[in-house]
Amino acid sequence: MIRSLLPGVIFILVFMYFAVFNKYHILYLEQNQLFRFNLSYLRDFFLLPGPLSLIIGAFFTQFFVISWLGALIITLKCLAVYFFTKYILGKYNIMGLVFPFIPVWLLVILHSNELFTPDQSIGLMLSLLFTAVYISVSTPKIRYILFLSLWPLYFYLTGGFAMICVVICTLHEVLSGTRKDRFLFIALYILEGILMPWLFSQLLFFIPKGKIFTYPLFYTFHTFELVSLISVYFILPVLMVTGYFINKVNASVVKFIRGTTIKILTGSLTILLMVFVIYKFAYNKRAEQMFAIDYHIRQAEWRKALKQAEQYPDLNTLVIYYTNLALLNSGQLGEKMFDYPQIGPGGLRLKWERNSNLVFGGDIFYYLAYNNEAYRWAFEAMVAKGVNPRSLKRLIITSIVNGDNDVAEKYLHILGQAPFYRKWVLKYERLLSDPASLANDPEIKRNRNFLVNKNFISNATGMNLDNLLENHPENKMAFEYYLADLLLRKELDSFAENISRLKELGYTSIPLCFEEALIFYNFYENKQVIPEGFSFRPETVARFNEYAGLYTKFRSDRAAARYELGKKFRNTYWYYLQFANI
Amino acid sequence: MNWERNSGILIGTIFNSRIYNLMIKKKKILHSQFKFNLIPFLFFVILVGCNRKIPEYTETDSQAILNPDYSSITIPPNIAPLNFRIMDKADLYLARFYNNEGTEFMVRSKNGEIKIPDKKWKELLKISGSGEYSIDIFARNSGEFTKYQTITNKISQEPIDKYLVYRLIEPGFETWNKMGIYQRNLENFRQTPVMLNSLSGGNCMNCHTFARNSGKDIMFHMRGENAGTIIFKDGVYSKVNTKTDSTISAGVYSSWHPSGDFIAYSVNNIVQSFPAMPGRKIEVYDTLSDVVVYDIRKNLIVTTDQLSRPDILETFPSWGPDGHSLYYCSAVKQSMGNYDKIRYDLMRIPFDPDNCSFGQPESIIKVSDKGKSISFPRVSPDNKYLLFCLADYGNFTLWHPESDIYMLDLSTGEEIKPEINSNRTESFHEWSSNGRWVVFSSRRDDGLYTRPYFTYFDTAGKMHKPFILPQKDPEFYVDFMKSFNVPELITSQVGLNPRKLEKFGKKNQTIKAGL
Repeated sequence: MIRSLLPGVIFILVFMYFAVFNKYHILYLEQNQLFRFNLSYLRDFFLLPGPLSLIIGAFFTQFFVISWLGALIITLKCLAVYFFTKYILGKYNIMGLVFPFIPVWLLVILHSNELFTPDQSIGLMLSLLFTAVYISVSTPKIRYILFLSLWPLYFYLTGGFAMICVVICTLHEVLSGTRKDRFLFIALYILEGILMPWLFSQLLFFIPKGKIFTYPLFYTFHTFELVSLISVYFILPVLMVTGYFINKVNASVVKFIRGTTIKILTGSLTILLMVFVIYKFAYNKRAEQMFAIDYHIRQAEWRKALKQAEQYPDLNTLVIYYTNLALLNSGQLGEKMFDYPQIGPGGLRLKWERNSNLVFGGDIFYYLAYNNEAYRWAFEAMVAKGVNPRSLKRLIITSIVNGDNDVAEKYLHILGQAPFYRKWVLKYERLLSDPASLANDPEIKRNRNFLVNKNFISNATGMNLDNLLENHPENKMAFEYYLADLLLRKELDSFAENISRLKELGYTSIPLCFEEALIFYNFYENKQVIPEGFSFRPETVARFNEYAGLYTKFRSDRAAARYELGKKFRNTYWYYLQFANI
Repeated sequence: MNWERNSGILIGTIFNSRIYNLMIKKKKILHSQFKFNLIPFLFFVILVGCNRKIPEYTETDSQAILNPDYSSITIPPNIAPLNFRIMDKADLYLARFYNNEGTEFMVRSKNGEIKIPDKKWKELLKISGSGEYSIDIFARNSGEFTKYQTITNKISQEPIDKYLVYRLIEPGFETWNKMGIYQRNLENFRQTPVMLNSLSGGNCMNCHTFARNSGKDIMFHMRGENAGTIIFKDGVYSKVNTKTDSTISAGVYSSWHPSGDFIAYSVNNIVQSFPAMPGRKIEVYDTLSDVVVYDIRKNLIVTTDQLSRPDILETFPSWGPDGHSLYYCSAVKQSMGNYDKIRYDLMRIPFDPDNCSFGQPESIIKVSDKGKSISFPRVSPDNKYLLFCLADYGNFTLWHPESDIYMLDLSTGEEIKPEINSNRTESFHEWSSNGRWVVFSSRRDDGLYTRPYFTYFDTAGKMHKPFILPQKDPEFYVDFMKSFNVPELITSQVGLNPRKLEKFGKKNQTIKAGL
């Protein structure tokens, strides 16, 4: 009963783990590639070893656009690995329920990290499939022929994953073979395992020497994940050897190990330990939260992004940047920016880091209607990451805004080769074929209205907000970001100079953070700067008086002042101004 | 000189652009149906499709829209089949190829893709003593065939150099990923890598240059961790650090002396900036630049005061075919930020290869006072013509949509704007070894991705309608997301490949050039 129920329960748990706890991780993975139904795209995979695992991996990753489907695919891969392992271990009389779960457990650990892509587990699955087929053949001669004739093709198709087959098949012959001539074939296996990849590298592929035997295996993990990765490749040979020796030891020990109570106890403990390790070391809640924010930003779900950001426990530049972006887009930046952690102007835009954060960093420029810069970040992200839907979408819209319709058409064509994006592509294809509708599309219209007409050069570390406002003083989002930037830089003189424009930009009251800044400025500089038609809210003035009183009380002890004021005024500009280190 | 754009060419480009859009739309319909061109099926189509009889048809006055546009062009006798797609909608297409010598065959297609059998194509070009071949295109709609106007292309007697070398790279800004220098056999569709950065740690590599259009002598720069100029001459590999204590940088833009003993380089301090105006995505310009000559035999860098004036930017050296003159571009240095005021004139300086010395420079074309700027001078092998790019300012014309190719008649001094330009960027160009063909880079298709175009340069000094590098898949360029950078024609295959270079690189130390 347990034997048949337990695997089912465990795989339901695996599915739930990915569907519930790694939902955004799965959605993020989908955004890192674009599987296309296009022969030239598929042909490129064949330029290096392992096209089969890479193509199948990319094919399945496209379904990660629906998170539960992604979770199901990962679960099914784990299930396949479970069955192959169970079958192979069965040949060594290892019938314990837990053993086939060990590679599954390792896969779950590895799939908890976003760097471990689906093609990796597909590669492992394919190598186990080959091995299972090999072991299933009982006639040694047929096995030898099977390996020696098919392994080169298998190496071509799965690359470095086929090396696992060499190890396991060789081991199988050593442990279970009886023929004397098997050592000759074992030597041939090893020779083929060394010679064929080298020959392929000399005749077929252009591949760096260091990757001849391993590509496309991913192995740039560190510590815990690296141990898991190595384990997942070598666990089966280890179990095979263990099974072989257990079968050799005396019957009483085996009998003891096979006792039902001991078995259930050790099995349950092992499974509990596995769950604990996943929870403690593999699952990265913060990364999941970050992916959740990223997802909501992508979907322009600003309030959901903010809700996620509120729950993020640490100071993280990406989270702070996304928070400010969400605040800006939901019209709350001036009102609530200090309700969230701020790290200075560095939280308003990401640093340009090649091959790293380009895919996230361009968003702010897009919403500020800095079209060329949004295009540049998106293009560079596509170069660094490879063709991906997120960059393509941004390139399409920025190209349309710039009037580069032919480029937009090209990218629409590329994106349209991915079935899950056809609907999006059709929308823009229709718009491009109907200039009147295109001109009225709110997103295009807004960014076209703010197109730069007086040139300036991109500031490598800033956002050119002054230039954007010089081009279009009516760009309210640029204005709000500009004021936020000044506040975060603590440049209150410039802030006070610009605050007078609130009315012309349609503000009905002074946003709270701006009000706090202005009250402080007036108090500190002994001025009366109040934008025409606006007044300070009495409650804000009262709060400031309270703040000033407390500050005066602790003025001689800065640490105490920071502590006491932090209790009540941490979410005010006054506190940021006086205590934040930027 | 007439700075106005040729309206005829403009219309031509708009037309090309329309074809491109049509092509994309057509392909969208196709991939919604997701078709797979299985090899056996194609084989069957080719076998059954060829040599069919002409069906009954009605004739239309219009011309079929082809992509790429391979109509009314002049082609070399040794070019690969010019496969194309018929953009007009139909359920069946027939393309009848024939010449006056009796060679005739038909290609049948259901999706408009006309893939010409290699053997029959060669036969067609070989036998066309009349110097032309024709294509009749028939399209079937609702069971009725329509015949479009016959397309006639000329076949030149002069072959084009067998190989085209280019770098494939995304037209990006600062970031790159995979890039490689490739050679393409123009007589078929075979493309092989000369160098791939995946084998050298992902570094940047650029500026491949040949001596006398020969694949035997090649140089290119490796950047990043593997920095150095790779010179492969007479089968000997060397890697040189061309930066000296007295020069601005290592060599950048290069030109190989006809004798093979010298390479002229510009040494530059290059700056990139990113303008905000639509239509201007990137500006690449020099804040400092000089021209130097590297003596390969002596491993020495040579220059003269005239080529390294502190207030002047000298760049784009290019040898005349006799090796006694060096052309280059020269501009007055501007303050930082005034990049749109840097305008280059064309200069020439005599060079004595025997003692590696220079004469006095002379101005060949002065355009800076007319608000224009010259780049990429290239003299024809017969020393009669000089091609150059003309833009509004600067020297990195790749990102200048207004950049066009111009020609200077060196004997008369007449400046001509050949009818090969589009309303988008034309940037880089090179002569074939016989001087009858020119390859140039153009962004005419979509405004972003650079493609190599060929034009026939006849004995009367006229350039013919250009055509794009043919590909096996007629829709190759629709899906392809890299630019063809620095196309160079060479007569023989480059004797290098990434594996050899990887081996050479490990065995050889970088040599530092002296001054």
